[in-house]
Parts: sequence; C-alpha cells; structure tokens
Amino acid sequence: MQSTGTISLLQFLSPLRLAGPVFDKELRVASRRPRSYGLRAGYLALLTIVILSAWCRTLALQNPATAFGVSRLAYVAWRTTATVSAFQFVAAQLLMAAFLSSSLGSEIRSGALGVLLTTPTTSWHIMMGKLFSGLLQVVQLLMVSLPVLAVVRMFGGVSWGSVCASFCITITAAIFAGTIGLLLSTYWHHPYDAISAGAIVYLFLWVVVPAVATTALAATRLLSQPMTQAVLDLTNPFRAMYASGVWAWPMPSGGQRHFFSWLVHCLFMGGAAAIVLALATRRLRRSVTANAFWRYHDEPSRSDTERSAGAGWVGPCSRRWWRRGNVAIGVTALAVCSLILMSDTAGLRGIQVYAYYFAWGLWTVALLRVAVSVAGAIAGEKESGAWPVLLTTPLDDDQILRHKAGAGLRNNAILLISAQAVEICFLATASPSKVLSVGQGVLSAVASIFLVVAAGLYFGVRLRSTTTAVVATLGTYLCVNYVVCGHYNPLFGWMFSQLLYNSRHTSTHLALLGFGMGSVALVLDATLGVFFVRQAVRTMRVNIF
Amino acid sequence: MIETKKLTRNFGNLVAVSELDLHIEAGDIFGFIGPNGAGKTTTMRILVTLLEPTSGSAFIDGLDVSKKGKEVRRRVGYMPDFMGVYDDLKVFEYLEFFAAAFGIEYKKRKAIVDGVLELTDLVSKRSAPVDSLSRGMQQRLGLARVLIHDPKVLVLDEPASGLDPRARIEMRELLRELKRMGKTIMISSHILSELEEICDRIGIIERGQFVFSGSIEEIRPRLGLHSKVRVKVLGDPGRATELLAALPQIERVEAVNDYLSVTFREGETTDGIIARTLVHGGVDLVYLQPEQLKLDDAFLQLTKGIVH
Repeated sequence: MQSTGTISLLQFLSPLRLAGPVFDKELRVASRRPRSYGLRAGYLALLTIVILSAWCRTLALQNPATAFGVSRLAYVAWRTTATVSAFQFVAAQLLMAAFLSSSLGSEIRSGALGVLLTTPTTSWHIMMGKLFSGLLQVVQLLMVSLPVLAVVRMFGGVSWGSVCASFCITITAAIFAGTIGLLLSTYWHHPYDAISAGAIVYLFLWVVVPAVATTALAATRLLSQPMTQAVLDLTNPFRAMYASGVWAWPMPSGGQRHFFSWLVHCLFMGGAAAIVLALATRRLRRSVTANAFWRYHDEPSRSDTERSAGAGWVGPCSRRWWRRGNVAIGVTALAVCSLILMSDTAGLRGIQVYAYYFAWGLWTVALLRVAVSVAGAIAGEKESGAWPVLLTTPLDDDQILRHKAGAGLRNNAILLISAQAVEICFLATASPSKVLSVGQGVLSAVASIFLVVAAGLYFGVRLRSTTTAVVATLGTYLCVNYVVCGHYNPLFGWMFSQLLYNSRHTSTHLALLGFGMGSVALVLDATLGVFFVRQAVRTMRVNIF
Repeated sequence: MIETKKLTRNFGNLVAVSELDLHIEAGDIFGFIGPNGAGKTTTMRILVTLLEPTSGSAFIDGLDVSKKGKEVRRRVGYMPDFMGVYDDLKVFEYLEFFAAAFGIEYKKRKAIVDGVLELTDLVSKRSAPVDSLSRGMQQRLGLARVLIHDPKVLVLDEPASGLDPRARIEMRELLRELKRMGKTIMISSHILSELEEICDRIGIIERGQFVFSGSIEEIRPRLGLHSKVRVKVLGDPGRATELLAALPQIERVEAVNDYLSVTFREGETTDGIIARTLVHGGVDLVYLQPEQLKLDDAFLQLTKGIVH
C-alpha cells in the first residue's frame, strides 16, 4: 500500500505541493459549507447597500443637465470607489480572520488536527494550506466589485493606479489579518474569541501605537518631518489607504509631500505576515498537544452543572483571560482618554482620528464580548449538554435569563465602561454641542447594550451553536444601527446629500438629521430589545437540545 | 519494534509518565492497560511524535521519536481515543486526503483507498459523508485511515470504545488479520476480556509506571496466586469437601453456589488427584474445571485505582 517515492522537479514546484494537501481539502470543504454561501450572499448584500448608499449620497450632484453636475461627476466616481474600497478593505480582513480562525479552531477542538499532525504533513503545510485557501475565497469576493469600479471609473476622478494600489493594500492587509487569526486561534480555539482578541491586537497595532508615537513625536517636532510621515504611512495599512490616494479627495496629482510607495508598504505587510505566520506555525503543535487531556470534553462537568443549578452564573463569559484582559484594556483606555485630553489641550488635532477609531473599535469589541457572553452562556451550555440540566432545577425561566444577562454584563463591565469613557472623551473634545452629543451618546450606548443582551438571550435560546448565536446577535445590532437607521441607509444618504449640496440648508440641518437618525436608532434598539426578551422567555423551552 | 527507555513526561507538576521502560517485539500485539489518568494516552502520544518526552527516549523501528519525527510518522499509524473527523468530506475523500498527507502519489491513491475500504468493510459507505457515520463506522474509518500508508506499527488508543458487541467482535477479527499481515500493534482498552483474547503480551500501568509487563500466563506466579479448580458433584457436597480437604496438596475447599472451589497449595497444580480421590471415595463427579485467571482480577489486584 505504501508508495512514497522520489518526486520530480515539476512536482516539487507545484503550488499544490507548496501549500500541501490541506489547501485542496479546504477548498473542497469550503464549497460544500452552507455558511460559505451565506457569507458570500451577506457580502454581496452589504456591498449592494454600500454602493447604493454611496450613490444616494451624491444624487444631488448627478444632474448632467447642469454644468455643476457635469463638473462633479468625477467626485461621484471617487466617492463610490472610495466607499467600495473602504468596505472591501474592512470586509476582506474580517473575512480572512473569520475563515482562518474558524477553520483552525474547529479542527483543534474536534481533535482532527491532532490526527493530521501524526502524518508527515508539516505544521507549515497546514498553515500555508489554510492561508492560501482563505485568500482565494477572499480574492474571489473582492473581484465581484471590479465591474462596478470599472463602470464608475468612466466618470473620471479615479485612476487605475490607485484602484490597483488599494486592491494590493487590501490583499496584504487581509493576509496579515489572516495570519493574526491563525496565531490567535492557537491560543483561543473558538472563532469569536480569536476575532475579539484580533480586534484588540489591531486596535493596539494600528491605533494605540501610532497615537502614542504621534503624540511623542509632536513633542519633539519630528512629526512634521517627511521621513516620519513616510514611516507612519508605510507601516500602517489604514494610513496607507489614505496615502495611496483612493480615500483622499482631491486625489494627489503632482506627487505628495512625503514619500509613499504602496509596493514598499505591501512588502512590509508581507514581511510582517510572514513573521506572524512563522510564530503561528511554531505554536501549532504545542497548541494541539499542550493540554494533558488534549481533546475538548464537551460533556457537562460536575462543577458546571452545580454552578448552573445554583446561580446560573455560568458559561463562556466566565473565561478568566477575558476578565484579566478587561483590566488591561481598561488601563489602556484610560491612557488613551488621557492622551486625547492632553492632545486637545495642546491643540494637537491629528490625534482625534486615532481617538475616533479607538472609540469605535473598542465599543464594537465590547459589544462582541457581551454578545459572546450572553448568547454563548446559553448556546454554549446547549453544546456541552448542561442546558437541559439547568432547566430541570427549580429556577424560574426569567430568573435564569436574568442571571445570564447579568453575568454577561458583569463580566464585561470594565470593557463597556472603558469604551464609553473613550467615546465620551472623544465626543467632549470633538463635538461642538458637547452636552447634546454626550447625552445622546450615553443613551444610545445603553439602548445598544440592551439590544445586544436581549438579542443574545433570544438567539442563544433559539439556536444550537454559540458561533451562530453570536453572529445572529451582532448581525441584528449592526443591521439596526448601521443599515436601517445609520450611515449606510440609502434614504439617509439621499437626505444628507440634499442638505449638503442645497444652499438653502445649513449645518444645523445636518446636525438635526444626525440627531434624528440617532434618536430613531435609540428607540428601535429599545423596542427590539423588549421584543427579543419576551420572545426569549416564551421560547426558552422549545429548542432545549 | 517499539522501545522506551526511562520515558518521563511531566505536565507542570503532574508526572504523567515516570521512567517507563517498554519493549515490544515486531509482530506482537501488546495490550496497554491502566486506570484513567494512568499515562497510557500520554505514552502513546509520545510514541507517535505528538508529545515530546520530558526525559528518557522512545524508539520506533530503531528511530528516536524525538529526533526522527518525520520518519517515525511514516512508520506509525495512530488512532486516538476520540477521532475527530472533518465535516463535509466523504469517506473516500477523507482517506484520499490522508493518503496525500502521507505523500502517496496521486495515481496510486484510488487503488489504496479502495483496498483499505475493502479491508475494513466500508465499501458500501464509500461516498457517505464522514460526519454522518455511526460511532462504529467512524472507528472503522479511523482504522482504514491508519492503514492508508501501510505502517509497520499501529498505535490504537481505545479502538473499541463505544462500539456495540458485533462491532467489537469485528474489530477483534480485524486486529487478528492485521497481526497476520505482520503489523506490530500497541492497543489500549478498558475491555480487558478482549485484550486477553488477542494480545501476546500486556502491560499494566499505574501512575505512569508499569506494575506488570509480560504475558498473561506470567501474571499468576507474579501475583502469588495459587491454582484453583471448580468441582461439581451430585448430591451432598459435604462428603466431597471432607475428602478433598484431607489431601496434603489442597490448601482450601470452599462451597460457592452449586460447586466447590478448590485451591491448591503453592506449586501444586495436579487436578488429576481430585478426580481419583472423589471417584474412589464414591462421590459422583459431574465436572472438574480449572479456574482461569481473569485479566480483570489481575488488574484489580495489581492496581490501586490511584489516579493523578
């Protein structure tokens, strides 16, 4: 049966051999998974909404009957291209991290990877196979938007060079995100844990470090030096997207103030990805075999069951790392708040961009952790078989749900408070109407938390897998707050466009539009939250197993 | 074929395997027995290169598992106690994937996969999704996977766990067939009666150390156990008890249910004297049966049930 002879030069250089048999298997499996089609459908739906939203935002400019309309068509094309490239940039990184951490984590959890490690296939082949297969799927999705970009390019205002640059920067950023996902999956075997940790790493690498560097360099007057700006642009994919010109209007024509080459940036990101991949490869075998018991025991443990029956404070929310990590995040958030206030006092406005992204990123991670804690507390117990045991105790249904929600909030309290502190700090320094902005921000935050907790309870009760419940919970939140009553609502885009380009309206009207939209989101969050809580209590004993 | 020298593996303060010396000859079936947490699985994982020993060494076919990992993997087939399968793969795809992982040429894979499917009686499930197979079928698939690269050594961790009686018997027959094919097999199981039937040698491990290693026949003298026979007679067993208790070779005669359990003195094993004594004494003998030492009894006597 054995036949492992020598291989020819052609076979040696074959891409399939370089990536190993894992690449072939991953592609075959990916084409059969319903969730792959769901992800693609979701990506296309979101891309359509994003394009529609961008288009509606420039509707007021699209009247070719007027000279103004004709003169602004290039801007319309740029706006669409910039929006699409921004969406692709974020989506590609998120999808890569999700694909790879989900693929690696599930194989470690099931023990399948342990079996594969007893074959001559190396850890390097496994990692490369997974990385290439994930990349191929993401590139396929990115290609979908090329016809749209080709059409809008005809209006002018967008060069193929900048489109190509944004595509390459997106690909290398996605590869880097994928390798981070692989590395973190060797520590946390559930995709949502790995993605949350990845988001924290991203915030640290691309927001906290540059913000600290900017503040420190501003003090030494090195910040304005071309070399400093070049280094900051070349080592940060978000800054690189701006520097490449695709996110900047008007597009740079006669050269920039400082050196930037997307090729150098891509090489830097490729090198960084190679280092992370090497670390992940090195850790893989240890990750699979370090545990004395190796395999995940999904059977309910005695202590779990006892704790479930006793108080209901149980579930993935009790993961010790996140509790310890929350403290570290809280301290970092406090430092960022100080940084924002200091830079505001010193008149350093550039730091506001980092503050905005940090506030947004930290808030999203906090909501993700709440969703994981609440939805996972129920769905996770279903996976382990502890849920039916809990339901046979004298605890009331609403009491169990209340405790689960309380545990989710308690375990993430530091994270939520930190995120809100940064948000308030940012609004207090950046917004002209401080009291109104801060007041609405806090109320919106409370409503958002309520929606996420309620949706988490409902989807935890209704669905069987933690990952599905977390995705459904976050999907509901994002859909309500970003698509239905948010930035990506085409109707909002059209109203914004009418106000912005109509001389009869003022900035007060724009502020009122934003306030109105925020208020609608707040009411909708609260209403849906109540609906989900009622449904969760009603359907709690429907899908027990 | 398999050898360990003072093999030790620690997990922090926990000593999972402690200076274990093991020697398994080529072509043998070696039964690896021990309570949960005794260090069986850890030893097996070291042998298949999944874990590094803390100290000591282990050899497969003369190759050091710590230094020649890749060569060792080509010679060993490992079946873990819990076999994780890849979702969304069919049975033949699963086997072809592992054939590719073992570097078997593309052209030869189909024939090899068909061969192991036939050997493990999985031909009818060739195109079934692996995650739809029953536990027994998955265990067979695991065995098929183990055989895909024709290894010299098979390391099987609880291959019969969770199987129904028929599947267990079939698994036992399959292991005998593999022995006939010349494979060296190291197998752990909690179903000791099965090991008793197929193993050439056994090793009983507790707290990471062997408490016994050798053939099943060697256990009795090692434990200081005396030979026993069961005697069933017609009518009142009192007369038989009197006659047998008077014999100098007999240590003890006990009435157990409807028969007599006769224990010989140390070194005495002749049961012919019992038949002669009873017949000459006018007792009607129904049957005379030497009592076999059960592996379960030996296991209970040798181990203290202490786990880490």
